[in-house]
Amino acid sequence: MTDRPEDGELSRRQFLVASAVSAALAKTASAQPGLPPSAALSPARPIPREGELLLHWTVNGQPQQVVIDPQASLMEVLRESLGLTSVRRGCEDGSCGSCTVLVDGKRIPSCLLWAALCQGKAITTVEGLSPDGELSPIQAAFIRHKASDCGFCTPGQVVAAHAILSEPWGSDEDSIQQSLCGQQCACGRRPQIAAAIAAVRSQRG
Amino acid sequence: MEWIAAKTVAEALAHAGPGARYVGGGLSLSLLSERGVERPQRLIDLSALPLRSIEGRQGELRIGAMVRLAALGQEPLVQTIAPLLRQVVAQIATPAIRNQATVGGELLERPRCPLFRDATNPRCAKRLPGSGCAVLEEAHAAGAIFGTSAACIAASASELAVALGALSAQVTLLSPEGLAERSLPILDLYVEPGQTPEREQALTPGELLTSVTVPVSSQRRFGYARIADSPLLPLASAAVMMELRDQQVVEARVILGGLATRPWRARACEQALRGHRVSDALVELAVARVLDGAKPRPDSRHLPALATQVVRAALRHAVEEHATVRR
Repeated sequence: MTDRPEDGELSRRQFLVASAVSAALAKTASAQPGLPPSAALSPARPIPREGELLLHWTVNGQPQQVVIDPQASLMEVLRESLGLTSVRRGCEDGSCGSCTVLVDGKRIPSCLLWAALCQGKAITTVEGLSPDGELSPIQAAFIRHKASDCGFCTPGQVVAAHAILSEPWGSDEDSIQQSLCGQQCACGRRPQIAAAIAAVRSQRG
Repeated sequence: MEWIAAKTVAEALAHAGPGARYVGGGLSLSLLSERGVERPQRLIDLSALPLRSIEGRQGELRIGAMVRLAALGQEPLVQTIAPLLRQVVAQIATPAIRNQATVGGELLERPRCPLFRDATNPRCAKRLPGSGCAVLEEAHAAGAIFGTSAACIAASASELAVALGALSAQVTLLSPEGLAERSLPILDLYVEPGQTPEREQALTPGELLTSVTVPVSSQRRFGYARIADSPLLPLASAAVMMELRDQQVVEARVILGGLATRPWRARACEQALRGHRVSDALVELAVARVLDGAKPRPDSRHLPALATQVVRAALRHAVEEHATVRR
């Protein structure tokens, strides 16, 4: 397999997008068009083909088995196999934070994390922060402080903010700014995001 | 691509070979693989190996290669024994990256040269031996000013190595050949590009970095400074050590990061410090020697000033640091 753009073929990520699109089409049409999905969630017992891996993990509290390509990032598997498009495809170099998810409770940029490293792990996306439909304290604070504008980065910001509340940061403004390093908001809502974190932290004392 | 989740160190070593890569946190390797810069055929996942402890032993701190940077930064022993390390770790990349990135992976991070990391650039001797260097040929501002060669001017990436160099740390390496173990001073792990820029470390084929050992000293003072315009791209950094006896500098180390093809010892600067009474004037005398051996290009005229600034700031921190470490 090659990823070099000058080869004029689909890059692997383009292929995954094509796969996801074709998987979506397959839901509406009876025939499976084109390329097979490189990773598929099966309700029964998924069987990995040669070169694929079977992952046993928990996503937002649900134990699952999923077959993955060992080259797939966690972001790709969550978006394209599990439909969790709250996990954004942003900078893809770990600096923007729009794909931040929790792995065993710790925030990690899912665009750079090989899904294969998540064997046996508990993955939490923004959907997992309000499993019963009740907003978590940080989600409510984001709304109260108008910490979201266009919304693209918001799921990653909320997940990161949730994690920051359990990390050993100081409560001063400078510490909150440092904790948000790697979480960019192109709409400029960083002050409101920091205020939402500070508000939840002070509620908790 | 084959994925091996190694259960023991011996199993990991047994799978080493051409096309195989060890995976620590895997963040950088996944990025480079996705871009086609690295093309591993076999990935050896080290997550399950017992390389994740931080231990304070007699006179030293031993850090496993699979310790996550976040865990290293939060470890009370590190704060007590080597506060410099904690200070440096807290500034590497981003908090989310530090949750996954490992000590071993950071030490072996590939250079951040933008044209090395762009697989569409056909002129990079680091990727394609003998193909030249687009940075030099197209007069880009990127690149190192120390330790460069006609083949490559990519700056080394590890910030941990800069700190560990000032701390006189050693790395322990394990070879697949008879499971032979050896230790090296951390700075000897890195090699200059010369005519073989594809090689950045003095590792033998399949050799695995297993731990880092930091000696404890109560007589030493440390300082660190860096200039960065993005968390993922520090431009210049310096970590320094001064060992004082009755206010005399008896030993000194000045390590530069970001500006050299390997973590760089500014030896002339160190020499200027040794044997003299510590003072602001001595700091300036030493700073005046930082650029000895530098090879700035017309395209990187801003870099020498960065080198002197970070060394001056780091030396001043060391001079002002009164709370020295005690056992």
